[in-house]
Amino acid sequence: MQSRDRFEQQMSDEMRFHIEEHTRELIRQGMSPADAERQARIDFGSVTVAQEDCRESKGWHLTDGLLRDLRYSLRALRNSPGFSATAIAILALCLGANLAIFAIVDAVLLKPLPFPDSHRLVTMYNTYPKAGVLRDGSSLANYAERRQGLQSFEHLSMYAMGETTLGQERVPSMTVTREFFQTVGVQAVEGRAAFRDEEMQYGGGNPVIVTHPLRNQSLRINGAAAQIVGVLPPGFRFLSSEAQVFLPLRFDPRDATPDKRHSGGNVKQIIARLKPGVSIAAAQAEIDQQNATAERANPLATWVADAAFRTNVTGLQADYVETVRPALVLLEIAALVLLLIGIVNLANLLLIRAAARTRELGVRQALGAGKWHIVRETFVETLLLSFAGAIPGLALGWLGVAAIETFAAAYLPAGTQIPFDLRVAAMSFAFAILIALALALPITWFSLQADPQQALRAGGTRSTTQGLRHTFVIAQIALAFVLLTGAGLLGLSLHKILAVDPGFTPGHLLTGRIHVTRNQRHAALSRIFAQLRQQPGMIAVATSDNIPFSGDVGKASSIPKGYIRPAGQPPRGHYLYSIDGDYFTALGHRLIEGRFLTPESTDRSCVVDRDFAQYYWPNQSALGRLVFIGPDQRPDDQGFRIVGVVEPVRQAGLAESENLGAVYYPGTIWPQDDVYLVTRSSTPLAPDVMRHAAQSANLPISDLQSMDHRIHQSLAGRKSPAFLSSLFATLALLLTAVGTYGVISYAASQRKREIGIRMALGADPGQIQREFLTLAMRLIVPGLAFGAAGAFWAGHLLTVLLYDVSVSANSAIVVAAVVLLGGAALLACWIPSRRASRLSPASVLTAD
Amino acid sequence: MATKPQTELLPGTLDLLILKAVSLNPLHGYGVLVRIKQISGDALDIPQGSLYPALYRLEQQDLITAEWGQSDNNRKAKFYSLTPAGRKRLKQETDGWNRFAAAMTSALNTTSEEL
Repeated sequence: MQSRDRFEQQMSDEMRFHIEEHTRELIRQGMSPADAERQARIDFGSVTVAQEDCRESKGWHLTDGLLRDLRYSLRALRNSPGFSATAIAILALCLGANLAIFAIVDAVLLKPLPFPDSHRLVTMYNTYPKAGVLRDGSSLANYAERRQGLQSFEHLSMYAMGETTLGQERVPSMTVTREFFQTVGVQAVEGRAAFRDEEMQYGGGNPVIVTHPLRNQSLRINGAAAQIVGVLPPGFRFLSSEAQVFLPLRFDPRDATPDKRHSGGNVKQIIARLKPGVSIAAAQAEIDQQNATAERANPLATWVADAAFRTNVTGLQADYVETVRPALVLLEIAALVLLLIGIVNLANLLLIRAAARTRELGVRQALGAGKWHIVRETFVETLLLSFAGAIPGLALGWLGVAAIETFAAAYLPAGTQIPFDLRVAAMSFAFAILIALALALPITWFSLQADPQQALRAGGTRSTTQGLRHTFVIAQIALAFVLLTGAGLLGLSLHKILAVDPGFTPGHLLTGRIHVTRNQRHAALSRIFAQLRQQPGMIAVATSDNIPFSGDVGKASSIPKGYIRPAGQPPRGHYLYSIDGDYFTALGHRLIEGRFLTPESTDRSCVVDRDFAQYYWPNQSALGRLVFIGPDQRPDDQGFRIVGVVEPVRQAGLAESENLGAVYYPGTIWPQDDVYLVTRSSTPLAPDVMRHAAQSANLPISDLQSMDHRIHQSLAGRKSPAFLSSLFATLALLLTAVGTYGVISYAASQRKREIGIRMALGADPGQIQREFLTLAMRLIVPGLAFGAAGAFWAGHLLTVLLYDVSVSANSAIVVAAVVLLGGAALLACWIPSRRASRLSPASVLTAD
Repeated sequence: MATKPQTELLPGTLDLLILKAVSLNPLHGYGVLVRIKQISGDALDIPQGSLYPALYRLEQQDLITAEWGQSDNNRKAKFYSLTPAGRKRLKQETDGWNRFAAAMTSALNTTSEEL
């Protein structure tokens, strides 16, 4: 503004100088000083006009008009602090919610993966839906046959995520085939990001490719010195993996023969890079073709067909965010609905205020204010409001992102960074401008319609926007209704899940993963078990290669002796466990019949769960029967005799709905290398105690978590949407009450005179109140009706997120929403209508 | 007092006259007025007030530039001078004007015999 002041100063100096020079000249020509000065002023003409023209030449007039409007708007907002505060609060809340959700949606769903041309990256996995196996990764045979003869891909490689012993610790690692990094599109900053052919063979040394932080270290991997052959660029991470070391994925070619095509086990995954211009559909068609050809020669062809086998090709990013997408999309919709409610609400409040200012507007128009000027002024005012709301909204959004990062991190894909940066801030201001436009439109329309002459007539403020205002209230109620039922459904669903019996007994369960080879197994486990059993309050110690809520949901085959699958019946995958120690006591399994396995026994016994027993022997006892590991019948001496039947547990999560059946085999006979150590104690066991016990056998431990924590983590994907949607619904309820109150209370204030006269003539206050309540019902009833229709639609959209809940089956939720929302709206109407009916006629009639 | 008959300015010609006036030497606003009167033989009626919006406009377009200095009688005054862009513009406009004037003169002096 300083330059502006200087401009004004210099301009008047310059013109004064001109007039004085001219005066001097005229005096020199013989005029009297007084006449000369007068003549000079006449010759110059209007200084004001000249100055105004000069300002225009410099472009100042544009900002001048805006500044005037801004000052006017600021004054108007200051004059009604209640209204301004309400409006700013509404905007801040709605914008904050939208920014937080948008920042997450942007980071997770919209931003491409951080690899070159990432849209060309795909993954593929085998699926056997009819066998209950939705995702089985890919087999080595798949990898071997797909590396040749496929036209769709530039590169195709295989990887497996796992753990490796680095020094004295178990760390996340990945094993990858030779062209993995080439497929991903990452180059080494030192050395090479590829293994050589000889390095892919067993005995090909101990080569490793490492992330940037490990570049200058001497590493011991799995007990041997490793040779770093390549260093990846800083910040590299592959999807959710926290791997710092990448080892060659070595395999015996005999494990990649066609008869092992279907032994994926969801451990190894294929990633491929499409050739430029090739679509995923084309790649899918080519894979389908290859599968069809390969299955023709497969002796297991009917088994595979009965399981509805297929290989799905999907975009890598789509696959990566698949589990979170539905909830995020719905939250984004909910946030936008909230924003819509907020805008409609504000538009209504502004319309009411504009109506109250009709007289002022009329006076100004009569004094020559142009229509364009009034439009501009309206826009400046809404812009001012929405920016005033956007600033606290930005802060709220930032807080929201921080809160979500803290409380819901487990739910987002691991490694998700949610940048709350300039991009998001710019987004919020773009939002603010759009909101300002949306708000300005109905008011502008109203202002341009209003007849200034009519406005000037006393009391003639009959507004033309009543219909619009009422429509807005109905829309608000309907939208809020949809949010309320949606939140109700999610909440009830969460409630039902929390009430699900996991099949085992929660308590002080501690779990951690160790890697133990077959040779060290007996000695190591005995030592660890002995040490842990000495701990005070210890109830049971065990290991199992899989535990509930570990995230491992791989299924495998096991069939009873003599079982012949009926033709057309899909084969069935089961959960198989390899256990040691007092596993059933540690988990708190409930025995139905027979007995648990005896710890450390080398009997060929096993325990099955009720689902398994009922599937193969409905209405008969399973005890004493023989079961084989794998899909084939074998000699009896390779079978396991069932000695007990237990209640099924929820392996994949509380919401798991399929009863797949489980078999528990003794680890002494069917050992596995990667196992979980599990303890149950009467008081919580310190994680360090378990860590030391493992270390006493020279085994590093990882993934140390209590079972409660695992259960909690498994619900993060449901708790956050349920919490956020109920927060949005509460806000929506509040906004709707405010909006309804505003409209009815305005109607009441408009009819003050009429009411006053009627009261003076002896009208019944009850009658007047009833009139207002009738008006209220005309808004509430259609609002609720539209809302109920919307709720069914929302319930349909929510299906994927719901557990054992639906709108039609749980109509109580709809009824509750009617009561809650209808009640709130009715209350919001009742207060002003009661006030109107209590008006004292004298005070009303003397007021004007 | 002015006794000569004065001609009203054609629209757009004031800018050209100002450019010409300040092309000779830097002038303050009043000086521009005096100079235009002088070089036009006092035949043009310059509305004094509209001189300044024109000067500001030309300054905004970077055709002239202004600097504060001392006037003849030792007073602070704003002096305008031509920028290189202004000089180029003056040349173009002068050429254009000459062509226009020649064409107009030729057109208006045409007699029936010449057709």
